[in-house]
Amino acid sequence: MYRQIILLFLVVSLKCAMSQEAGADSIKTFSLFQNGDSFVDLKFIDPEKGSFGVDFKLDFKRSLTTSRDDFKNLYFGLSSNGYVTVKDDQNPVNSIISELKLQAFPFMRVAPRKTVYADVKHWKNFIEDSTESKRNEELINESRKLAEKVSSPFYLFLNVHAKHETTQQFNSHDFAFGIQLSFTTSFLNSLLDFPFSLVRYGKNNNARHLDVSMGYDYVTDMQNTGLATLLEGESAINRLNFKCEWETGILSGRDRLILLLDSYHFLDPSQNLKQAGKHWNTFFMAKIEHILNQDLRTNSRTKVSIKYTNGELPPNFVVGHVLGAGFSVEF
Amino acid sequence: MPTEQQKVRFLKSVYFGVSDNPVDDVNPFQNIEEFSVALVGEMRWGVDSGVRERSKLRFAFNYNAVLKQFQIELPIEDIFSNLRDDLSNGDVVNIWVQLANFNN
Repeated sequence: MYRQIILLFLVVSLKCAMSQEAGADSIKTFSLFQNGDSFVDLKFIDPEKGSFGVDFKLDFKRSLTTSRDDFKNLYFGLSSNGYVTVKDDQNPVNSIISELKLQAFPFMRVAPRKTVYADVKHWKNFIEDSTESKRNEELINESRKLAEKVSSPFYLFLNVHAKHETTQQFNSHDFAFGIQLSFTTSFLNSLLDFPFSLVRYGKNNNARHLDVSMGYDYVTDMQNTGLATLLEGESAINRLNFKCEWETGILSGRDRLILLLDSYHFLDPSQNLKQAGKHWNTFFMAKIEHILNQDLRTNSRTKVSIKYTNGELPPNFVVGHVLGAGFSVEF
Repeated sequence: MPTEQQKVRFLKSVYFGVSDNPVDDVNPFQNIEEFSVALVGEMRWGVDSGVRERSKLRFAFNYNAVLKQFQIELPIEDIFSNLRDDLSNGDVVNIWVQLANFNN
């Protein structure tokens, strides 16, 4: 029987994006390395006890070919991301995922009906005018309209990968080899966005492409994972994965709704796995974010959010249900 | 002869508008001043890292195509590779203006 328990709690926290001397109860962060999307941050969880963690994301790519759009769309990538702490029990994430992949990025896309618009003014016309703010507004509006016209409504991506999923102690881990097909589309925007457009009064706060991924993994070396005892001696299993993410604007121009679904299904599961309800694992998140205030002088933004999560993530698929609210200041 | 500042302002306005695409909106900001100082990472690319990458790629294709309408050449690779989360949107435009070819 699938147990539905909703834990209701209110979390109010102040988060600092950069290292600052703050109160003794907050997590202090120091950036050790930053290059593009790769970073390594040192986090002091409990300074008085000397407890700290390392939050990292490392991402390397090498292009292999060039598409007809003159874009290098086939590449080989190596990435790793995770959060490691001195004390295991203080690690709220306890997951390190490393991946080697060959990716077609994109594999194909649907071309827009028309790519050249002869009635667009030359860029110099927007510069040679004394009324700067008026020209800027006109240019922004023109760019919005052109973006909609030149957008491809469908992109397809393909990757082949080898992945290592582990907890920080490395005593609970598995290897996954597989393939993933992803597509993004605006074809369903009108349908998905309809109910939210009814409660949206802010301007220029629209939906993003729906992003869907489907994958197959051959998962092996599953010793000591949370599922190992349920596999009845099998050390490998076939797994399907379905992920879906979408976002749109609601209410004012400063409110966004984010929906995320991540589902794993094991093919030919053992009886123990089925009885434990672990043959199908799903993680769902719904989040509403509101930008409360923005201060240009200090370049800080104050946000509030309400988030609901329900489900499990690999490698141990431990169930969690959380409904929380958050407050953050980013600068 | 247009100055570099005028070119920066032009590219920034187009960046703002294209990212505010009615069918693929990744721009949460209400005005170009807020947008300029905010980080690329604060745009609404997505939660999952793969989703974020794909959103940035779509933007790069659209930005390249829109700039072509204004007779400006800026390769998709140059647009995409400089969309780094740790840079401000203003910083990225300053990089792009050096790479773009403003045709007469």
